[in-house]
Amino acid sequence: MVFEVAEKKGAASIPICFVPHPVFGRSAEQCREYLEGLDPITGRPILEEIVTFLTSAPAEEKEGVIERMREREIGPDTEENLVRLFHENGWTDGLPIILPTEERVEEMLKGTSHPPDEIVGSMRPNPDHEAWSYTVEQVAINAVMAGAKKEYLPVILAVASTGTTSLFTSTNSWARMMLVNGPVRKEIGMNSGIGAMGPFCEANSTIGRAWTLISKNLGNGGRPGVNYMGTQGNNLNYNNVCIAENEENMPDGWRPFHVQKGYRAEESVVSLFAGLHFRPAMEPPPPVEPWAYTSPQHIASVIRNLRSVGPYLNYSACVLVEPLLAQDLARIYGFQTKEDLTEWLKDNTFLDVWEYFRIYPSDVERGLDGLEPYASWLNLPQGATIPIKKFRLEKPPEVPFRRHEEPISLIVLGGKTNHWYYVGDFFYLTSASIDRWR
Amino acid sequence: MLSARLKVLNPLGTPPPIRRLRLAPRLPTIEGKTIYVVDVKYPATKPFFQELLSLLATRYARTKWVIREKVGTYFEDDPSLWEEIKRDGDAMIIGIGH
Repeated sequence: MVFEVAEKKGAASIPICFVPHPVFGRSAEQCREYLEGLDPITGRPILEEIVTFLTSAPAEEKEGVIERMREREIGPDTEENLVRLFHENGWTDGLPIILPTEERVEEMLKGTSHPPDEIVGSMRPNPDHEAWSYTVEQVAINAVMAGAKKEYLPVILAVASTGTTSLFTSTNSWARMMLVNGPVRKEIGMNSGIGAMGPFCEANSTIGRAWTLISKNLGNGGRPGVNYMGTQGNNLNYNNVCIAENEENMPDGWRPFHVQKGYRAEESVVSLFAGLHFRPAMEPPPPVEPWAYTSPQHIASVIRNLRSVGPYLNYSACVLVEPLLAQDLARIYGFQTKEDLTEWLKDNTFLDVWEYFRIYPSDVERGLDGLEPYASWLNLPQGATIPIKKFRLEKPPEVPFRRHEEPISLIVLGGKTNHWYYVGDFFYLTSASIDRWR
Repeated sequence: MLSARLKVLNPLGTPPPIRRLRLAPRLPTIEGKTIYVVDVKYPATKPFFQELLSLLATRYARTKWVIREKVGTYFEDDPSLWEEIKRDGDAMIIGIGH
């Protein structure tokens, strides 16, 4: 990965020295041991290598521009050989693909009014890597490979237009989620009912899969060890939790997600999220009464458990509420809107105050300087808790990412077979109009 | 499988041109030079850079070693630091840490 980035930034011969991995969280003694040892790549003493790099001329580096054009067509060859080529080049997700012949791509392009050569956007696997650009035709090629129908193409183009990769590279193993709202859900037969998150629907399955192929082939991503570094990977990436909201079975007063984001109800919109995992309604601690699994208090307790995912997510949560439970939350508990419930959850999801300070150590210093509320929090007894609503909004210097302004998203989906919910650590990224790509 | 030969369309996107950079000239020696050690501030890697500086300063005492933390987090650029190093330094070691 390091050599790849250096090359693409135009410095292929920049001297690079490695120490054993990781150095994150290692003691001074361990770091010294690493530094007094050998470079695991070259086998040379590290400090000597550094000095050699400073004093020895690197390989000749010519200035100039290297253009990298691609051939539009591949072949001719047999179907068997071409399929093998696609797999061996890493252009698939390992599952069988539909070969993108000119005829199939032409048929796919009938799903949009946009010209094949229109630039849709650009994508990269994280901010350190180079972005590749792509056209409507290139998106259609990957849609064919995923097995999508032409009617799905506007959804896939909308996702691609955001430039958001589903294969974000980090040594953590990130996943992505895509939510479809509006009339297009019914038009193309997306499943938002029984088994909404399962492998039961052609549209959900192939649209989600297309995002993975786009992220690999158009977004310069998904090559393990080069531009994908998630150490264990994430199974959710196979179809990126491609879901549709069950707008028809929400309680009165609850607005579809895209309407919450400012779109009109009759618009078709895709919204993207990032996260790692989901936790189920059966998450411990178990309530005394079985029915209490469905209480807002229990949802808050599951959100609290998301702390295990690490400090930088700032306790973002995405609650996927099943319609029966949504009705109860409205009728029995009085949450007349989604916003009523998310505000309640922010007030009633608590974190140990000392865990907060562990995550945001600069707030200890702010508290010691007398800044409120941190000064008061420093005087709280052991075991005291604070609601997540009181977490700071501005980005502390030790945290790479800003806090999400709306940390809890609420989505209704499922088939009314159980009072169920999942809580994911997924946070909202962006939305895009699907209608624009029809 | 069909035995017919067919053409398919390339599934890959369009990469940008690579604009190659000329690397900084190497030093004849590090003695008497000012060399910056830049920590990009990956979380929980400060001890690593402190130990690196300590070892370099001990082993190469006739070199002036200057440690700097890059502004912001490891995702953010720091043009003013690069200007400072060009102006006041002879070389730079930048550490990623993970």
